[in-house]
Amino acid sequence: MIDIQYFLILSAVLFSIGVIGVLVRRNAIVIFMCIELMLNSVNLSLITFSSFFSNYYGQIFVFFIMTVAAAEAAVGLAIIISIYRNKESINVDEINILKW
Amino acid sequence: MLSSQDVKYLYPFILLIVLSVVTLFLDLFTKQNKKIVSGFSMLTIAAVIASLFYILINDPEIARTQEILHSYLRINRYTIAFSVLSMLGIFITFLASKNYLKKQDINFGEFYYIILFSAAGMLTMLYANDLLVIFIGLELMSVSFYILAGLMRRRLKSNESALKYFLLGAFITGFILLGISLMYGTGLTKGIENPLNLTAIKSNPNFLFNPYFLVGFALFLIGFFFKIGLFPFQMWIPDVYDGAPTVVSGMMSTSGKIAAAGTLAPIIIIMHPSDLTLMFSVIAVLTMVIGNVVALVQNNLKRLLAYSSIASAGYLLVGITSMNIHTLDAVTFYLLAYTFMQLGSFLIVSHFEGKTADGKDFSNIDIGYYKGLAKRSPVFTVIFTIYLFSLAGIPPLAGFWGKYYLFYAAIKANLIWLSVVAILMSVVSVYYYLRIIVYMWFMDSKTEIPEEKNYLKGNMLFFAANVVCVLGTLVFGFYPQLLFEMFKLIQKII
Repeated sequence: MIDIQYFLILSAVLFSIGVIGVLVRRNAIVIFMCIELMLNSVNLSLITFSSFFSNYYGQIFVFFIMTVAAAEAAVGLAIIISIYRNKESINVDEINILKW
Repeated sequence: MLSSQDVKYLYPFILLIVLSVVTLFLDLFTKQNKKIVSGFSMLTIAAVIASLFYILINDPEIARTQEILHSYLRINRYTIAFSVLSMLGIFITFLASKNYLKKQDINFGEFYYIILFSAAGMLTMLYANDLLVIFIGLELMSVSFYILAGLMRRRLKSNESALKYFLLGAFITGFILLGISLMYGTGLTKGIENPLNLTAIKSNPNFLFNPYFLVGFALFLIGFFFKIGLFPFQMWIPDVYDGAPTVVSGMMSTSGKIAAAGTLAPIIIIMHPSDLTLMFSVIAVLTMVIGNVVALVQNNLKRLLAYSSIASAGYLLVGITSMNIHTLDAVTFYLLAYTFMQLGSFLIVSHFEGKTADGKDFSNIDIGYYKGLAKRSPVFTVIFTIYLFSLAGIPPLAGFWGKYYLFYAAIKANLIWLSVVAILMSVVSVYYYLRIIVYMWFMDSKTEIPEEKNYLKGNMLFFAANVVCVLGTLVFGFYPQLLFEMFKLIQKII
C-alpha cells in the first residue's frame, strides 16, 4: 500500500501550483482555473485522510466542495462575460479603474 | 432522527428557504410589477425575525447552548441575537432600496431573492456548529454577494468590483478549505470520531498545541479575517463597496459583516487561543490605523464609508481579542449600533446619488456635492448628522456605547495598551466624520442645485427606513441596557 505522505505531498504540490498560478497569470479565466485546482487539491487531501483513517466525513465534505465549486464557476464565468462585454478584455492588469 | 425538539428551532430556516424560493417564482410570474416581489421579500424577512423572537420568548432552554441535528447546528441567545441583527439589516435595505433601484435602472427581481438566498447563508453560518456547515453557509452568502456586487451589469465599475470580489473571495475559499482539511487530518490522527465538529474540538483542549492543527486554524481564521475585512486582507473592501450598488454596499457592510463576526467570535471564545492574543492585537491596531488614516484623505463618500467599515472591523477585533465573558455582549451591542449608523449612512448616500449622462458611472457621491446640503435638504441632513455623530462615537448615541463596551471588554482582559490605541484611533476618526458635517452645515455650494421639496413624496418607505435607523441610534444610545434585556443576555457589563 502506498504511504499517506505521497498523497499529501501531491496535494500540497497541486495547491502550490494553484496559488502560484493565481499570483502570476493575468487572464481572469486562467486565474479562475488555478483556483479550481486549489479546491481540487484540497479534495484530494480530504479523501486521503478519509480513506486512510476509515472516516467518511471527509468524503461527504468533498461532495459539498464540488457542488460549491460548480456554483462558483457559474457565477464567476457570468461575471467574466459581463466584464468582457463592457471592456473587450479580461486581462486583470487592465481592470484598474477602482483604486485607493 | 429529526425530533420535534429540533424542528422547533429550525422554523426560521424553513420559513426563509421556502419563502425565498416562492419569491423566485413570484418574480417569474409577475414580470413588470416589482412591488409584489419587494413586498413579499420584506414579509419573508419579517416572518423570519418574528420566528426568531418566538423561539427567544417561548424557549427558556436556549439560555444554555442547545445542539440540534446531531450537533451539526447549535442555538443559544447569541445565535438568535446575531441572526436578528443580520435580518434587520436586510429588512432595512429592502425598505429603502426601491427608489434607488428604479433610479439606477436595476429594478430586477434578482435583487430581492438573491439577497434572501444570502440571508439563508447568513443564518446557516450563525447556527453552525460544524466546520462543514460553516463552509456551506459562508459560500452561500459569498456567492450571492458576488452576484449582487455586479448587479449593474452595464457599468464597468460594478463589473470590476464583482470580478475583484469574486477572484479574491474564491482564492481565500481555497485557503479556508486547506485549513479545514489540516484540522480534519490532525483530529483523525488523535482518534476523534468527527474532528470537524466544534463540540468535539472543544472537548480536546490540548488540540491547540498541535502545530498542524494551529496552522489549519490560522488558515481558517484568514478566511474569516478576509470576510470581515481585517488587515492585511482589507484591500478588496473599498473597491467592492465603491463599485457595487450603494444599497448593496450598505447591506454587505452590515449584514455580511454581522454574519461573519457573529460566527467567528463564538468560535474564538470556544477555542480560546490565548497564545494568539498578541497576533490579534497587532492585526487590530494595523486595521484601525489603515482604515482611519486612509479615510482621512477620501473624497468619495462610498470609499470613505468603506474605510470607516474597515476601522470598525478593527474595533470589533479589539473586543474579540479580549476573549472573556464580556466579549460576546460587547460584540452584539457594537454590531447593533453599527447596523443602524453604517447602513443609514449608505442609505443617505444612495438617496443623493445619481448617474452620469451616459449612465455608465455614479455621480454625486463626491463630498463636494454635500456642500450646503443643510439648506437644500434639511431633513436628510439632520438624519445624516446623527449617523455621523454616532459613527464618530459622540455620547449619548448608540455608537458611543458600542465602542465603550468593546474597549471595556479589552480593559477587563488587561489589554490596556490596545484600548488606548483604539481610543486614540477613534479620535482620529472624528476628523473625517466631522468634515462631512462641516461641509453639509457650514459651507456654501457654488453651483446652483435645486432645493429639495416634498421629501416624503414617493419616498415613504425610504423615509421609514431612515426613521428606524435614527430611532435605533437614539433609543439604544439613551438606554443601552435595552438590548441586553431584549435578548436576555448576560448583562455583566457595568
